[in-house]
Amino acid sequence: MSESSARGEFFAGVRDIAPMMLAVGPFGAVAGLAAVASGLNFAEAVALSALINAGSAQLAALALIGVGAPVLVILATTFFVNLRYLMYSMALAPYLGGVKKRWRLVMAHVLFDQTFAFATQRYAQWPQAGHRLAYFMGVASPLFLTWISGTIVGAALGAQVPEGWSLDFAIPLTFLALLMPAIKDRPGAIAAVVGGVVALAGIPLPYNLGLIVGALAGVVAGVLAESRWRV
Amino acid sequence: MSGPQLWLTIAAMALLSYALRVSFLLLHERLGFPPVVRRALRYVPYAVLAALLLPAVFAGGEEAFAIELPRIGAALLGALIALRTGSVILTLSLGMLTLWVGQWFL
Repeated sequence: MSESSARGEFFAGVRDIAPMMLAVGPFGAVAGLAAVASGLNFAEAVALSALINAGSAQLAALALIGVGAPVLVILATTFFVNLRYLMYSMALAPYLGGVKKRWRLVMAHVLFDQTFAFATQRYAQWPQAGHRLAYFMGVASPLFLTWISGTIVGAALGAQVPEGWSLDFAIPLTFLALLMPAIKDRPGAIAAVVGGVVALAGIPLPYNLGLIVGALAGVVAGVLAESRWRV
Repeated sequence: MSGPQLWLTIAAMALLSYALRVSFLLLHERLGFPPVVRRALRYVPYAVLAALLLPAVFAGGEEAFAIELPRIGAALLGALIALRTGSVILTLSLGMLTLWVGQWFL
């Protein structure tokens, strides 16, 4: 438990997340631009990213604010789009038994899709590495700073989003880059295929419910496939 | 939406998001997990990432299906690159390049 290896784990996290900043920076900029375009001022746009820290939920909420939707509908959408964080929280918790409570309170705020993906991968593949808080913060701190910086740039520019650039596509590409190499066995592949296809079929469902239904279906399919092939 | 109402909405969204994230990080010791839940958790990242991914490729995040060849082509190439190299930066840069080239020609 030497100081240097905690530092080593922190920088292992920084190294792992470095390429992702190319996607998260522009995503932050899109969130900032979309907020200003929806009528929010600079402070409100930055507060949105700093306090909520969930890009897809923010973009969904901004679209609703733009059309004057009631607050309850906005909150319900936030809940459904962010329900995956409950699953992330559930999946991460077993690894964090040795982490102090006040640090877990900090970790929760910077729990992003990418933080979750890298941390669970690291903890599962290098259980002996330890220093799980250090690795988590190594991934999360640069990510959060890049996210906020991107939002500040986007909100400050305030100009029209250059839609022709389709920068939004950097997000699914990021998910692809995380997902494809992580699939190691047949149940994992089945969970991904069923999750994706059901979410796709569920697009017409209201409040982004397709995402939740797809994710649940994928998890169930993965468990069923595991019992079938591993007995 | 005006200033105070907007700030209240932002605060409520923030609290809700934080509550979902912090839930099990705080409660897990008291709850404990049945084995089937532990097994299920392994599949959460695959299922959620794919569920975020496919609608964004085929519908551009909108609530209607849209078959846009440049997006699908870029995603297929991105999937191949991700599988072969495991590199995020290569997947991102070549995927975006494919998308822009595709949009230019189609």
